[in-house]
Amino acid sequence: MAGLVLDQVRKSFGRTEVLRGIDLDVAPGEMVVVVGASGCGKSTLLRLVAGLEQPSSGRIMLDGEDITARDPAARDIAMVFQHYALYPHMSVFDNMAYGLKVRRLPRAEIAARVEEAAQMLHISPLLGRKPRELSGGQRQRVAIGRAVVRKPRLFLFDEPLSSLDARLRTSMRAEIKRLQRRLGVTSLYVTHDQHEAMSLGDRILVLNEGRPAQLGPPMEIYARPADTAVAELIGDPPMNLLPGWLDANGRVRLETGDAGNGRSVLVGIRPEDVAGGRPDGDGLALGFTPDTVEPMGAEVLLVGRLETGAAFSVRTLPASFALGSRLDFHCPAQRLHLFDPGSGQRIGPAGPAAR
Amino acid sequence: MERRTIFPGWATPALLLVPQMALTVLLFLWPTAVAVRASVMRADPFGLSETFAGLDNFTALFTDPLYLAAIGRTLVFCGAVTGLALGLAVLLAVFADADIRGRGAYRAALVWPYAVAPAAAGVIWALLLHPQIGGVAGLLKHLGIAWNYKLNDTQAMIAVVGASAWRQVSYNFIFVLAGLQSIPRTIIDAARMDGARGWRRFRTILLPMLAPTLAFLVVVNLVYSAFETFGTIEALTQGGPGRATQTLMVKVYRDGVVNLDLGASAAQSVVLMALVMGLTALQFHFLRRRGGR
Repeated sequence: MAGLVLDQVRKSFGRTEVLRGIDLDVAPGEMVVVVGASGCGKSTLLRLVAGLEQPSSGRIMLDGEDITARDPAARDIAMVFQHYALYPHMSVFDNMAYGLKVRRLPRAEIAARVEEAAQMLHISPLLGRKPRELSGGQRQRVAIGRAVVRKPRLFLFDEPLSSLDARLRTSMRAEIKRLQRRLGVTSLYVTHDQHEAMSLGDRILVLNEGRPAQLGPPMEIYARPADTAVAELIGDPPMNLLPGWLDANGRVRLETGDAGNGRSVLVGIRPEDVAGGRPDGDGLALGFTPDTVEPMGAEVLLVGRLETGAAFSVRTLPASFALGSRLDFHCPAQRLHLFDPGSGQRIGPAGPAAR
Repeated sequence: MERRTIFPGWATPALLLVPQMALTVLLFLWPTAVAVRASVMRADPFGLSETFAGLDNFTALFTDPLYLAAIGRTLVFCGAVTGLALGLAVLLAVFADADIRGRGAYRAALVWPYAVAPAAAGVIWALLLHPQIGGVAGLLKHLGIAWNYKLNDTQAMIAVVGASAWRQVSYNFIFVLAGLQSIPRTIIDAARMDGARGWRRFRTILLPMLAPTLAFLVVVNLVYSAFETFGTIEALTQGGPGRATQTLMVKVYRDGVVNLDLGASAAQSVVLMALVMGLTALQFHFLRRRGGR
């Protein structure tokens, strides 16, 4: 099996188990984004693959070779760090050339590779400068350039955009995606930003407390989150999670009293899946009293409470809403997500299909 | 925020300044003036009469082969102490910076020598190195080395250099370790990912990033070895055997206090004073650069 393969990788620091058995196959040329809340172990996972840390158990394979015990120098992996980690005393050129010089490439080859990467990243005029003379965005380009010139077998990205401002982040995101497709290098990308994960990843691995919660294409994870942790992490604004129950006929009820002999569940409703008016057919009626409106541009976010008293939010087209008075909304049955209240695991329904 | 208090009139501020000014005048300016004055005078050995000598004392100084030899000797001594103390400190700090078991105890142990007073250090080393009863001397004899720093010029120099550097290692160690720890871990990680290991990583990444700290330490160590090692040398060799370990500082003492050639001694003091001022300016320069980063 080519590409990157993680086989039951575990890591403990002292008594704290940070990674509890990670399995992952990254196909050649594929970009997998690892996403999770802070402290979920995603950075540790990246450092294990990089060789900066040793796993407590498990194997890491790259292009069919077991690299678990290898020094980072012998792995042929390049990494882009969160805060650039440029060498402050070296020029941009030397920063990018350093890894090639260490590997004793011919001078001409080094110059050619650096020039090429600099052109690709639009930093050719900056090659003579020192990192402190660059803006944040430029530094990040240099950091990416340093990885690109190596022509490695694997790219690792450790939240590379987190120290950039929002606008720059969006444009760099697109650029990284383009670059990665063009170079066709297998990549592992770590972020806590779901937008980055959704837009960059061929597939997303959601980590939750050191365990893989879900692995799949972005839209599948959005459409069918495997558990409540994933449901809360992916999707903006986050999914509403409401206590409810399934009655004898398999219909979803929001908890207003005794669950009776039904099965109690957590009902997940995405704010954007809610529509105005009363349901037709088997939709779920939602009596909702908004108390604030957050304009988002094309849409607005209504925040308030349901009749049951649960906090709720609705994403809808702008209109004038009477704040503080009860409005009728509904959610189509096929847009509901049901989770087990104990384990948080998804229990259905099978749909909705990826849109 | 800076806090300023403005006193009305001039009496209170003047009064508050008096202690500091008095100390400065009494302990620094006055002796300095006396030394400068003595350096242009020729005094008879009993100190009963003085005649103005102009720059004669200085001309005599810089044409005196013994003084020129002392300059050379001091340069060798200072270079050796600085090199040894800094080199050892860097080596020890690199190990202390690594993730090793018991690193806290290791670091504490390395800082201890700094708490030992110079004179006490001199006595300790005098005992350890003593040709007849010293532990180090005994060890060297076992290895077949005839150790007697009281007779052998080179051994004497080695002894004073070693004893002087010993104490300074601790001081340097603290600074170098702090310097190493202020290097972001991710930069070292980046170098690891780039494939740089061991000596190469140290030389191309760590050392350049330590450079401001090291430049500062070189000046501090030069000042230390030139001016603060008098006690150690005096306790160990008194500048001997012959003049083998007679640095400029020891010579000032020898010529002035022991041999009572006050004019020559004062001229030497003035030369040293100029040197201290130059080095101090350099030291402040590096301190500012460190602070400004």
